[in-house]
Amino acid sequence: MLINYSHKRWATATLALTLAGAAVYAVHHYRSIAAGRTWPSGGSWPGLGFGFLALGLMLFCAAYGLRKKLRRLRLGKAQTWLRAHLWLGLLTGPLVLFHSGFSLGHNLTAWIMLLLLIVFVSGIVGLVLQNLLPRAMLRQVTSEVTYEQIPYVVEALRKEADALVADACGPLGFEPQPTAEELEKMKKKKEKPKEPKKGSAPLKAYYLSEVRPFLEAAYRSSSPLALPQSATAQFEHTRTLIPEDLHEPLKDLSTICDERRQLAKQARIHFWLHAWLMFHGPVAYALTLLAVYHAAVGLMGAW
Amino acid sequence: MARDLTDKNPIHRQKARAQRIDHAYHAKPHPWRRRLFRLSVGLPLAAVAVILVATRFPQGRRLHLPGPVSSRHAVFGDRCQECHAQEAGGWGRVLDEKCMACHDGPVHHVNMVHDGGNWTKGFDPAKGEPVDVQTPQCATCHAEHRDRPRLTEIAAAQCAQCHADLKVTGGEPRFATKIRSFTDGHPEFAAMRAGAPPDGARLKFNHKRHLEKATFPAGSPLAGSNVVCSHCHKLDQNRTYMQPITYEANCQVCHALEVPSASNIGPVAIAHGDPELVAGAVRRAFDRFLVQNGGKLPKRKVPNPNYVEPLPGMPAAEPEFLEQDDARSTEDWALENTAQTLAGFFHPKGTPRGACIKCHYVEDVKGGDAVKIVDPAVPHVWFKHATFNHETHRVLGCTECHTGVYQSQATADVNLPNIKSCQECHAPSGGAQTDCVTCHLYHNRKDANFAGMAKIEHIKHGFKEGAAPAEAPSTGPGKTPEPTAVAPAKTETPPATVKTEAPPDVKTPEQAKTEVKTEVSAEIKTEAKTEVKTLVSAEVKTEAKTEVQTEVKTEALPKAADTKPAIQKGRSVICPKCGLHATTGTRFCARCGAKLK
Repeated sequence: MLINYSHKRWATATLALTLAGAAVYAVHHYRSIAAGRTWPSGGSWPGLGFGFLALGLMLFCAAYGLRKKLRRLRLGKAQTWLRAHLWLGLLTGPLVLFHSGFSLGHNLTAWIMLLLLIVFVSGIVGLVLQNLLPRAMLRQVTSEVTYEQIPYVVEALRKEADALVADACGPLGFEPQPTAEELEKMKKKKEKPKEPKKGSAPLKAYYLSEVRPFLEAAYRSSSPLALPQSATAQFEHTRTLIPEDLHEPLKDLSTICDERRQLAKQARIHFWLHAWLMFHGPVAYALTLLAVYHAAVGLMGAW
Repeated sequence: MARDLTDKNPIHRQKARAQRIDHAYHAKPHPWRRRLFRLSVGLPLAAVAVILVATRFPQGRRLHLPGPVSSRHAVFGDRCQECHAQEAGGWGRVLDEKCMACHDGPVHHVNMVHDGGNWTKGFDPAKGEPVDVQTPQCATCHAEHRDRPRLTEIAAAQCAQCHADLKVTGGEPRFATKIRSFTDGHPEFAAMRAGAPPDGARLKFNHKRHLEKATFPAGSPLAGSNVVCSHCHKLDQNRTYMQPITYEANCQVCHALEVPSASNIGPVAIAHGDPELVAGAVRRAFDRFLVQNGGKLPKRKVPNPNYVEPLPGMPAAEPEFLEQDDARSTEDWALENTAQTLAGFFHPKGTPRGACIKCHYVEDVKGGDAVKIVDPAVPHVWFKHATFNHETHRVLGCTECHTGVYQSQATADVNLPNIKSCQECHAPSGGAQTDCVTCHLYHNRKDANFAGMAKIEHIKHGFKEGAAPAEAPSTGPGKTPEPTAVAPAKTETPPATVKTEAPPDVKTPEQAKTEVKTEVSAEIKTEAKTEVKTLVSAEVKTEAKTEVQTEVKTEALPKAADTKPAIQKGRSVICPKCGLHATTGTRFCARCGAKLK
């Protein structure tokens, strides 16, 4: 979600609530110190209040995941949910610190604080990435496709390149053998297997040695074609080895390789755009569950 | 053949694009989605499972600790029930009863007021009976799991809760009522306040003279060196206070008590003590000389009429005394020399020595034969309501705090530091501790019961597994009629689970008490012996020595003296043996050593 001027009200409300909490905490802290305690206890009434608020916000933030699963129920606008998740999630951090009296806790509470830190940091990192990377992708990946389509498109590119080279250089040797029916059809149409064009051998050799491995499903980042400069140099060099009528297929191959590079870049950007969620989501659920457990154990102890 | 996507024919291009789309892609989930789902479900469940499994084991229970247990309670390990009440399936509040099972926490003041606290029993010495006192709960001040190695480290603010606006039951407070911290509201030390009584040591001592002019005499280990504070004031065994000043330890090296040289029996040291003891020792010195000399008297020293005091540094032309044969009987010689020596000790004008009167006050010198030395009372600890540790202040020179010592000429001078001197360091700006407990004890340790009833197995395995303690320590000095400190009648908290959880075969409190007392008595006796041996002060040693010497003297006295009673005459008694008049209360005759009582 892009952070822009439309978030002003949410940001203002979050800031105001944080300041209000800080004011309450400051009074509570002063009273605790005046009473001779080293830090305000989370079991005091203000401490419990902060704790319950933080737990409630954690549960709400966790519910955002359910909201995404239960789209059909149409529980409010997704945008509102995401904004609330974002800003109220940010508010959780200060509330937990007010609850703990800025102590990092011990044992279970220390684990909870660690998880909170992971969730907090991963969430902020995710927010920053979500604001930066889509723009970078728009600028750098002109041939963007749906992420799930990338393997399919890469295969299509490979087939297209095979067809281009086979058309110019003759069979590449790994095409599937034509079936009897296909051979019969070819006989009827009086088609003959394509003969390699004169002087196409360097193109075929270059394709088989460099280009085709680069177009495999598994991206080879160590290939010279992974870098635009070295790719251009290689294609320029190959162009000097082949006759002029083969320059067009070579140019197409260059375009295909460029497209493959962009798809790889898109996959890489997509990884950074979403990888943080692999930490944020599971750890957030674990945090929520442990926080509920902590509250339950604490309340059982208090009463 | 050109690429389809760059074909000039738009239909070809569209077709090519269409071929590049996997029309079933929406049916295939994102490869990460399943992984994310598994992690989102698995990780929280794993976390909770780990906790649930861990809490089955003693080590795992520490997960619930909100902070480390203080080192003093680490011996309880994972047995939360030793301090906490078990409530609603969890560990609840810390009950005072649980603390009091091991600790004695005598009430701070019987007239203290602490709203909302527990009712417990305190012993009121004025009334001579136990009284109900409302005190804070133990955990109010001694908060566990707070990264504190010692629970007795209480912040000043904790004390200021009451002392900032002190209220008491029944009458006016005896202490300052607006103490917020050591630097805010704390009054001047009692001994240093205007109108405070002077030093009542009942001795004559001049600090200035000793520190500025005194040097150690020849023959002593420190011969020739100037006297400094540490030569006399030495730390006691606990290295907190100074040892009491005694003649033997501090004065004798320079001010030795000797038979005067005029007696001509050589320098003989006399034990320091009561006049009677000194008199006996002097007489014994002459008797011993006779025995050692075969009954032969020494040459008699008489003043030389031709003696002229020489100029400084010049030898005398004539000796001060002349030696003559002594024609007296041995008895007369001993009696006269004894009387002459004692007169020198007790009467400064009689001889130039005046050994006793130099430092001591005498009550009665009437008759000239008996004196009463005023018992010295050198204060050992000045702060009656606070503690002080000299050891922790050892980096400072003595006069940094005791600033007036070098100007002090009178014994009555109180050479303690005032509060401003302490506040130079013990202030927020000074950096040293300012907590009240640095100097003051909250619990009235005078009433503390040090003979605890717990056994080692109680500590190691808990009161539930081991036998329950026979009786928790009482709050009063052995005068509280019942162990009310353990189970106060008006306590707000439920009864201690310590006792309710005791096994059914537990003995009655009386039986257990007797048994425990028997077991610990031997241990306590041994400890007491050791303590007496090691902790006995020089003062006590001196007294013991005096008593032993007196007993020896008594045994050595002629039996006939015991048979004749001393004659009481006014404020004097007459020795039945030699007829010497002595002051009433004198136990032995200064002349013949006969027992007067």
